[in-house]
Amino acid sequence: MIPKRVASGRLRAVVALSVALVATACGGGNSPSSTNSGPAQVYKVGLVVPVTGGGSANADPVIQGANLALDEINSKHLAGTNVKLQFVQVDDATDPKTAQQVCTQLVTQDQVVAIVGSENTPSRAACESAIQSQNLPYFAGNGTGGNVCYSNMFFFGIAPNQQVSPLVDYLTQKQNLKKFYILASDYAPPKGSVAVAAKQVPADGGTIVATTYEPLNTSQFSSDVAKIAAAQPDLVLSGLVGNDQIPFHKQLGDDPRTKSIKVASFQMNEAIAAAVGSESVGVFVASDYISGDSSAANNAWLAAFNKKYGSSAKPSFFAAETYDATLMMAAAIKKAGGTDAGKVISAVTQVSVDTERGHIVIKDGSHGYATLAAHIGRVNSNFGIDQIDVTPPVDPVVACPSS
Amino acid sequence: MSFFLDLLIESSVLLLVVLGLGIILGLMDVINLAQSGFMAVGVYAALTAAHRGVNFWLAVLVGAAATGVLGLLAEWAIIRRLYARPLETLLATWGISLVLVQLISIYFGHGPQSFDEPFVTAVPVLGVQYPAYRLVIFVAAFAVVAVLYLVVRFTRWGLIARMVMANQALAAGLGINTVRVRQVTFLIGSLLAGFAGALLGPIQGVSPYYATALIAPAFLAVLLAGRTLLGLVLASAVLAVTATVFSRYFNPVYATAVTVAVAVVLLRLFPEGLTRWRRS
Amino acid sequence: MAAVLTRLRTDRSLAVRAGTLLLAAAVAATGPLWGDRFTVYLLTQAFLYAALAISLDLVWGYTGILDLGHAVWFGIGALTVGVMTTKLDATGMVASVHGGPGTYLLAGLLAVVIAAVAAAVVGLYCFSWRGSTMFYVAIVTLAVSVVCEALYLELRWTGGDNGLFGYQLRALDPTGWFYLCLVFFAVVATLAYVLVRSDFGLLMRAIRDNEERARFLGFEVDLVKISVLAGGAALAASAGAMYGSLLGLVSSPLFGFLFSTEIVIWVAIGGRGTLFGAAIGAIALQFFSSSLNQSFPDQWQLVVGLAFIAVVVFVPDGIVPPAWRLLDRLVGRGASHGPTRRLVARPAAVGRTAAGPLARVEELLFGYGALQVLRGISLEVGRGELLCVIGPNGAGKSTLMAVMSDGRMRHKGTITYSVDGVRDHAGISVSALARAGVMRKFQTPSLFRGLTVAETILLASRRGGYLSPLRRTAEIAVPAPVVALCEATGLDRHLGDRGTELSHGLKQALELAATIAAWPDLLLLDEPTAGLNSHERGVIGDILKTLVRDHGRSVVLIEHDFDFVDQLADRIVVLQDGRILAVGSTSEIKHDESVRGGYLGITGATA
Repeated sequence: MIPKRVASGRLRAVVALSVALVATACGGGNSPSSTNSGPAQVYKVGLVVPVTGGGSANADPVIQGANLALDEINSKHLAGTNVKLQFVQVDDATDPKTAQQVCTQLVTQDQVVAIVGSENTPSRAACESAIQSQNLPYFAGNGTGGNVCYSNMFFFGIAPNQQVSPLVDYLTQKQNLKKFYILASDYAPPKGSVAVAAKQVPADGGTIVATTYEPLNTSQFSSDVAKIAAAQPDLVLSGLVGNDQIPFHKQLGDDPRTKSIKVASFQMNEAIAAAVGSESVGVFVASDYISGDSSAANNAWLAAFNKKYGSSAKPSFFAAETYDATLMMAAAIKKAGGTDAGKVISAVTQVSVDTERGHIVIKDGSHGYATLAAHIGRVNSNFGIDQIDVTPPVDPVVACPSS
Repeated sequence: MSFFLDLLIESSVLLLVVLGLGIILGLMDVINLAQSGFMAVGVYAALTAAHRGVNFWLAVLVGAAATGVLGLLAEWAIIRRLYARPLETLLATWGISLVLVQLISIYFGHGPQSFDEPFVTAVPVLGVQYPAYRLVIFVAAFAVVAVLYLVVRFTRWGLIARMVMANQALAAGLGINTVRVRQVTFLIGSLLAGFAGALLGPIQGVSPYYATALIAPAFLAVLLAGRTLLGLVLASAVLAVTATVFSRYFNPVYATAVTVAVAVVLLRLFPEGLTRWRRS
Repeated sequence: MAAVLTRLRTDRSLAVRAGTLLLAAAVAATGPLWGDRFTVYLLTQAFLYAALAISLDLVWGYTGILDLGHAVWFGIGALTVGVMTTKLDATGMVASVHGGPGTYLLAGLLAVVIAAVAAAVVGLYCFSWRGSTMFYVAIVTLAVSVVCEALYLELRWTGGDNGLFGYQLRALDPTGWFYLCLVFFAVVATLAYVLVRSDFGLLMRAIRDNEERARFLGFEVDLVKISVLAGGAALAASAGAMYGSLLGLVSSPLFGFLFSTEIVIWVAIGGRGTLFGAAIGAIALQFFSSSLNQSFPDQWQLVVGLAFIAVVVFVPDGIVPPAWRLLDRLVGRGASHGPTRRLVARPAAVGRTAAGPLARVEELLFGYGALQVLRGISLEVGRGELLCVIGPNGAGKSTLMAVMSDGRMRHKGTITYSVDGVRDHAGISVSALARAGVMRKFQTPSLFRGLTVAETILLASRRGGYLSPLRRTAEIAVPAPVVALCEATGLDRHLGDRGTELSHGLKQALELAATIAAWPDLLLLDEPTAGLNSHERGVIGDILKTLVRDHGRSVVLIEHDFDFVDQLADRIVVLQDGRILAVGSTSEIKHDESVRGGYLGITGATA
């Protein structure tokens, strides 16, 4: 039988654990959605961010951007004279099951009036299914492959056409590069971008020598480097996503056969450039936001960002997109005169915000996608991104599922 | 010729990851799911040192040492209590990995870190110019394997290790301090994990979920290897070559599936590892 | 019914457990009354996860098959429903959802079939080769999970990276779904409970505890494992189909390694090998991680990891088993192993009065690589004969028995059995030979850790035949010699004890009782009296004599005690260095010069 000493230790552990389990099961309730503390009405907004799991690499800028916007909203009453907003942050763990659960929690327990999120496609779809019954507005601080459409969802990240066509135009015309090699992650948004590039490059008089996909979470790119070395294109167009970019750019830049081939990227941002190091210098970037944008609006924004998060923080487009999404949400709430979901959703297409990315607006008929300017940049030796060109705002081209 | 070197380096990368795993499995019958967490600790410790101005190679050793300390702690606090319970050990190491990744995220943030190679030159090898640091990986893997082989074959420690591997109860009966042997084994396994993590850092993306892409092939290689050093080398080579050749000449998106399928079939043909032929 | 109530009254620990279960069930079932919307939502899903956990527990906790790809079967359930109710547009996104409750039901049934077939194929690959180990199963199932997750993204009809979404069955409101999932879980739990308490459940546990021994009792272990895996997959798929219908979501992570590991963790934390544990593990962990995610959105996985390590280190069997033990101690009695069963004598089949020897061994050669153990053995075993095999250690006695009971061990020479016709035993598996009537008893007792004495004998008595997955046999019909053996050795007072809790003498008795209970034509007994005192030996001897003289069984007996052999044997075979030194009656052997010189060591004998 179990020796008494061991048994009592286990006994205590079992009892403690059961108590803990029961306590957490019963507890976990939150305060009601609006508190009347003084004259201002506080409404809760869900902030759904992948803090754990494969999508967590971008969690920090997303949270920073959202909270910077929140500060501004509350101090300047951007959501209404007597309206204050409060974030309820939840982690979707980059997993649709968890996303469904946390979004249901936001709806049923926290009674949020809206959601700001930066999730991958399946998780976002899961969240949507949780909020659909309330028709809550969802403000997405990231892009898609251009084929996701919900009547209650608004996207502040780039749609493929907004980014790819200007970049390809720039590369073929201003940089005179004709032979393209495309390498992208096997994932919906890059595939959407590659589809656009496949049409734009020949239209601009260039040729695509090859298109290769690597699955997400690849860290060894020697076969791709070998293929690129064999093909000797003028330019490698990278649609790699997330941290996969880091080993790729390093391995491409280290290999003497490929180090002089020019590189352009859809997903390069300041954090990735800094992580890559010297091999990232000179990479062309097309994005809806570059920190090297020297406009007055951006400089002001950078100052505010650095004031809150420290002078070494270099915000990437994730921060900018979520910031804009949050501001737009506030503007819509203000226009709607309250947090009624239907009214807020209708109000989104009637408002606009002026932010570090310029004048942001979602037009009727854009299926919830923002009209955005494309910023072309190049990574500099400090691993920041200098802006070398910016287009006028481009309307998104979206292919919604027909139904 | 470059491609041959690529295959050599890819095999070395996998081998470095696999060595720590293989030693712990072979001597302790423990499947160490904390391997990726240990590697992450190694690389983060190394890059913290490097960012403070420490010489790169010294920083790598710092990384290995930090992981070794962590390994000793984990062995004492957790692994030791689960002796002879392989499944519970597996689960506990899984928990350790979870905890390590989260601790790193909380302290360093979720985003990627920079960790530069000490040099970006290319050197002429076998008629081609090849990135020098990648060759360092190969040399390191070769050196570690050589040292391990010499230790196992020619030293008293190695003999003790082989005895424990063959029959732990009998070894204990002969007066060998099996607790100490297991402790040292786990220490060496963690040191190797930290060393591999730090050394591979400059050519990988460093984030809290470091090396998760390499773990699945690493586990398959360890299981395919049986309990011999030669097996570890062969298995890493087979899997790395399969993955790289398939990526090079076919569609890379299926490379994982193909590698896994190859490993499963090979495991059926060589149930005791690549170096033991099936008894007729 | 009355019997159940009496048992509850007398067996306090059972009453306490039943009470706890009823309480938990009542709390769960009334969820919508006391819980808020979120709790009801969590519980609804938790019921499905609990059913999934039970399906893994049946496969792993009860049968010992570590299925590290269990998520795949669940995913198949959700995916089948999704595919049958959605239509994709040109870009691969879900364009429309169609189908009434009938479609969903049909999809669920289809999913169950697909999962069962797929699992059977995987099981066939894993189990049907000689070197199969639990370890290999884990690898293959893990590989299946990894490959499925990767391939999911490449296929168009699965929705690719986006997955399928929005196809939940809207005909039910949340409360309706709650009760539907509750009923589903109750059905699954009941089915599982009936299965594990049934005779087939015994076989599952026997395979988990000692697969080899189960084979030697005549059971086609591979077939059973494949069926269990397929059944578990079917259950998991049904839970997955419910999940798909409830949430309308499926994507690649649902098939992946992380989710598979999560299911293993639910079962491990709750307590594998206990249905309640698996269910509680799944349900409790849902609430635990959900509330942690709410309270610590930045660090919840850290807390989960730490809590997880703590549970694994301090309560490695899971939470429920020590909780039951705690309750037992509070109630004041030791745990019982379930209602006791009884042995009942049944008339035994009379030995066939066929002519000719029962077994014939001709020029048997066998070795392990360079080591030749049997160097040309030829002998015959007659019907109704007790043949003793004696010889020094290393002579090859046990090896001879091993080869005789296993036609798949590569040998030269032939062994023919005249049971069910005349047959060369080459290539015939252990279990097939056992079913034909050749049973072997091992030298060291090889028992089932989790089975009681009565349960072991029950399994043995079926000799690889059908075991009901529904009924629980309380009265075990065995031939009279078994009953006599149990009474004579005192085994009948330990029918409810675990085999591994017995003294060595009783273990030997159990081994022998099991072998006899199978009522084979030929018993191969390897030192059945090793470690027994002379009284016990006498009892065994008498039983063996009865078997041979009164019931016409044949026994081949390896023994060291020559007095024992002297009393019992009809004939004696003396083995030395893998060869037969002498064969004959007891008196012939006693006076054989070579035997006396070589084995008995009597000096002065001429070689």
